[in-house]
Amino acid sequence: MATSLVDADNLLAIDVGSTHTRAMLFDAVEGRYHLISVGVAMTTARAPLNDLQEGIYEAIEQIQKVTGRTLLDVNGQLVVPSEGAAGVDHVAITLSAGKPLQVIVAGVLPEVSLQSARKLAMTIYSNIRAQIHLNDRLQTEGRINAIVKAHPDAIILAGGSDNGSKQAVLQIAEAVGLATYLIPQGERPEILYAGNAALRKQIGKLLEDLAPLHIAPNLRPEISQEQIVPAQEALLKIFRNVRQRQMPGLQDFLIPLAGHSTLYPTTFGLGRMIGFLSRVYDPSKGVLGVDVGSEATTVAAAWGDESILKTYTSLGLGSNLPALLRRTSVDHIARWLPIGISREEVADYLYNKAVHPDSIPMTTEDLAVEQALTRQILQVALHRAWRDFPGHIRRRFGAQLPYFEPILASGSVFSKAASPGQALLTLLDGIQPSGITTFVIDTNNLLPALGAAADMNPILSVQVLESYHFQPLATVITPVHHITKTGVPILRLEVAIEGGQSGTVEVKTGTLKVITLRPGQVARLKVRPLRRADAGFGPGRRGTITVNGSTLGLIIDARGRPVILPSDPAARIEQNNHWLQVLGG
Amino acid sequence: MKFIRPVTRVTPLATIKHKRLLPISGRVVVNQGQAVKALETVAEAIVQPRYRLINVAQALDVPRAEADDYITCQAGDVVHENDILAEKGGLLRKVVHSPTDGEVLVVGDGQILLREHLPPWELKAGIPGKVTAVYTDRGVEITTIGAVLDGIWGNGKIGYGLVKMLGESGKDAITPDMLNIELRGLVLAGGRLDNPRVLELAEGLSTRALIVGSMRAGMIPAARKASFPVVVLESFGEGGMSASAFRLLSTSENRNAAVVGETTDVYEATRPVIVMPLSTIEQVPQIPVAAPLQEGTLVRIVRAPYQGEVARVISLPKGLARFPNGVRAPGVEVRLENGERTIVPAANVEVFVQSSRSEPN
Repeated sequence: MATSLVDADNLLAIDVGSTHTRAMLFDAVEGRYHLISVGVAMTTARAPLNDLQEGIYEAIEQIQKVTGRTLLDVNGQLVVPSEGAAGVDHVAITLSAGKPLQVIVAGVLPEVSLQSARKLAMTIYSNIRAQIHLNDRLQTEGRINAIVKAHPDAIILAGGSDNGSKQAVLQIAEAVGLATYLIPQGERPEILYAGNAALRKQIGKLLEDLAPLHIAPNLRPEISQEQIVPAQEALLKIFRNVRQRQMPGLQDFLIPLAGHSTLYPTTFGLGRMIGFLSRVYDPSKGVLGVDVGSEATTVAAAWGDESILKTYTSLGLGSNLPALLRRTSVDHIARWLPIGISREEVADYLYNKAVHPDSIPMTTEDLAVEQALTRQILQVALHRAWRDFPGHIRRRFGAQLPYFEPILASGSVFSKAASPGQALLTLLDGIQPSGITTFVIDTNNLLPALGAAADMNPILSVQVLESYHFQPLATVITPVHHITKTGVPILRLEVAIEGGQSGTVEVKTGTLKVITLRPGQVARLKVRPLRRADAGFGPGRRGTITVNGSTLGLIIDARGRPVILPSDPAARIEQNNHWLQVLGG
Repeated sequence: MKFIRPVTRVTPLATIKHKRLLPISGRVVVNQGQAVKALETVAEAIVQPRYRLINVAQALDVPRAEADDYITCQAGDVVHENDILAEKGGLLRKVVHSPTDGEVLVVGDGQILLREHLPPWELKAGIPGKVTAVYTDRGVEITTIGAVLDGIWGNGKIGYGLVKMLGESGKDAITPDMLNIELRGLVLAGGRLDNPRVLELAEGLSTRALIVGSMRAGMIPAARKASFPVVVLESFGEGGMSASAFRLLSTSENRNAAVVGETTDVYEATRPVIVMPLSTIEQVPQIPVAAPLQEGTLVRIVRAPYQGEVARVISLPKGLARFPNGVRAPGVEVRLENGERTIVPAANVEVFVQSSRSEPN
């Protein structure tokens, strides 16, 4: 996939997260784009500073200091476009800081247009406050009250195929219009219409004088056809408008960059790159990206031209941690612990972390709880995302996670983990992959930045993606089986390391096995599943693959799917601890 | 990396500026410069308005276009329950009555939209003081001088009353046997809360507020249900109350305290606060809400293993520090009150402003 350099413009990517702000300078060196330097500062978008520019400029200053380049002028302003050797040509901003957008989704049928509107809303950081549809039993009066009560930032209005229902859409639109009228000017939501195309004129007449109205392609042009992506651009525009109104400093930062910058939600940048990778990698498998952040968790999956992007603002490791308990229990979190910590202490941890969201675990106990929370967040997020996987994928794999190659993970809980083994076990327990996959940690959170940069400099995104910045953590073979008894042979593996040793390994149920394969080494594997286990070639089918070395090498996860943990607390702790030790502790 | 950290105040004398804002636009009912009491209303709004849509066409059994001719009210009219809104005469006279007291907002297309008359939700001052800023339609800033303690969690309620301490030290749990009839109508403060029975008994004593150093997270549902404010000053768990907070509250016994149990919101910069006003004419400096970490800064550590401990910054090492559990993060070297030197994550400290006594050297 070698690409050549056709555009030598440099680019500064800025990722404003809930806790940290990163500035990343990309430039051409010897004909190819590289990541030159990264600056990291605390995010200043929220109290007490309430101006995200402080964090951005501090991160840029760090790059100046390290590289010796001049990026800021004498007044401390970013020089854009570059003037001689000073400044940068383009700026790509990704944003995950800030409260989720309060969104109302409105449609005709709950299982059709409303579901599509929900999917669209979840491609950005949103909190769906109310759902309005024909079967909601609210009548117009109830719908008006529900909308006004929610104080929405945005309303997504869908419904009707392009040659279908008109009256029902107008009935819902009338409620939206009346409710919007009742909200004071200046506080009114932006409205996105993505329903029956034949109604655009009427919808415009009804709503455009009341609030900013955005018209997008129908989410359901046919009742059996769903298209989310074409409407995304309009929703991104709303995201930008709302953020610029709500986030002090953002507008001031953007104005001088006009024409040379892009702004996307971080989650969108990740989704775009996962989609791109899926078209590059083996099309028979999907590509999965997960980002566990302080305020949200994103699941992005793609299978060629099919993709899903799910942003869960109720699943994060920061101030919204208590919301996790609406989706799961303390017992479900505590089951992942490798040390003895009481349920009460886990709950206390959760609330302490919520009031100090940027704090860092310093003790072994705190770290164990943080990683247990991450496992459970991943479990909940993937379980929910699975419902929106394409139908043919769900039919083929059932409740089991489909094959993905690779799986990319972002978030400081992985990139700053105490050891690679802890990062991997957290991912393995949380995701529970199937078949053969490579785990990659996006240490600098580059993927969203590259996704955002692709508008202005697609060559840069491709070349950096090809480069060395993504170090594989491990290649994992998971023979999927449902045998609860441990110690049953489930997989035979012939391993031949190029220029090195070769041998046969038998793996038994209930175990994790590590085969050392260092970065730079290559091995040829003959994989032979036993007892009709599925090791990535279909149930009971054998195959041959070549794998590259990585930080932890080759891992065989024969613990079964789902991973069954002992019910006895002491045995469970011992088991979790044993698996952790197998991966190096 | 620069570390600007939030400031936590546990101090006997400071100028306190406290913003009180409505959740939505409403009406400010006090003026700049006006003195207000803690429980006085400063602004009001219809936070959850209710609308009624009356389908006149359907009620009169006429086409929508025709129905407007029978509507007898117009936008802006104030109506009362059972007032006639529409009427069709003739042999079979039909009328449409108002279902509620309210105001007519829109009339047309055979429908009437009414806003139900509801009493406004009142925003209280929270702390006594002088109104030093008015934010049109949204709220006020109130300024006062006195002792102040910042908390980490509140149940959303406010209260005002005389302070009474429970227990001998900040490490003591508040137990049911500590609560008796002599404590009726007071602001109670103690080290730890882990027994729901304490809240039940406090309810029976018409407690004005409950301030604790720490509380078990499992108590949160019960604390939310309490009719009085519950404020946690330091942590969830069994950490109790720091010596400085316990001392400040103890020396303030029988003084009035305003307890604002606001929920913590990092974007809105709200957090619970206890204020004990002082009548003084001297100028007292205001404490900033955030301050940079630097050598000599007094800090409070918010996470284990030093959770709740007060320390002084010795240095800010460059690069990443490696902590006992293997995690690497920017660190800050501190000296604890017992003289021990250690490095903790910079993200795990808050700048601490407390009374001058017992500050670590």
